[in-house]
Amino acid sequence: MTAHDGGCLCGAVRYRVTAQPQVSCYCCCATCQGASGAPAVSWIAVEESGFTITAGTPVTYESSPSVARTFCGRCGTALTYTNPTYPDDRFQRSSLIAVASITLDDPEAFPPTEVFHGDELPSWLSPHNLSPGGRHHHTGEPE
Amino acid sequence: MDAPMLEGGCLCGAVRYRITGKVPAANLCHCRSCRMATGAPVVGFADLAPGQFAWTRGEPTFYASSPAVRRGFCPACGTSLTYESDDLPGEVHVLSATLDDPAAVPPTGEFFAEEKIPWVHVRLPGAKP
Ligand SMILES: [Zn+2]
Ligand SMILES: [Zn+2]
Ligand SMILES: [Zn+2]
Ligand SMILES: [Zn+2]
Repeated sequence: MTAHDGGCLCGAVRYRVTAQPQVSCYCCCATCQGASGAPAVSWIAVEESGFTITAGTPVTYESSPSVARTFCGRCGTALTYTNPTYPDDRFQRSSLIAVASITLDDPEAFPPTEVFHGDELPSWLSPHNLSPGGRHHHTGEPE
Repeated sequence: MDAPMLEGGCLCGAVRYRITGKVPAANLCHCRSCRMATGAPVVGFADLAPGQFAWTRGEPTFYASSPAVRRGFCPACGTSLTYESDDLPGEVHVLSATLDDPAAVPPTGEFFAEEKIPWVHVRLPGAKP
């Protein structure tokens, strides 16, 4: 697929995605809310080999023992999430990295098709955009 | 009766804040700068009057996303916490998802709707379905 570039607000950290997303989701869990400061984060998850940092070095924060979240230390933009033990077979089958899709230079490129932790979705944010067959996860897996 | 008080902070707990008094307004922002500061498609704010906001633990890092604007975030975990602008002297706009009770301040309006991501669908309380 064509490469998708992205980066943080200040431009210090840049990245390139060269793999097709295997997951495109909203996550509304308390930790994603906490990490971003916003009610829901839209993620695309791609094979780790299809993700490269092309400029700068993000800061890593371990929000729980197996979870690494990265952000720009200069401007704070949340960028990626990795969790090799995430209880979803797609994350178990291959090594996926989730990228905050709104930080792509084309932030509209990957509309979410499913909602993780939808029970924590704020009542005013409607998941109506989800395509037919989009999955809802209502369980409270740790993040 | 004591003034109402709300507390909040970042994901790792290094930076904490307190809001005193009734929150005068709460809004969503769809602008690119707010989206990029957080990494999220739409951002909620508690828009405070001067004097209502205080940091109670730790020191945020500030980033000037434009010459008149400074945005505070936790240097340890990256959580975006506040927005301040020279155009709104003394006002602190707090990212409401960072409240200990993020549902405490439901948004009633939207800013920069013209920059909204097309697949973000918002329906505020009281709006027609
Ligand atoms: Zn940056
Ligand atoms: Zn999450
Ligand atoms: Zn923190
Ligand atoms: Zn904004």
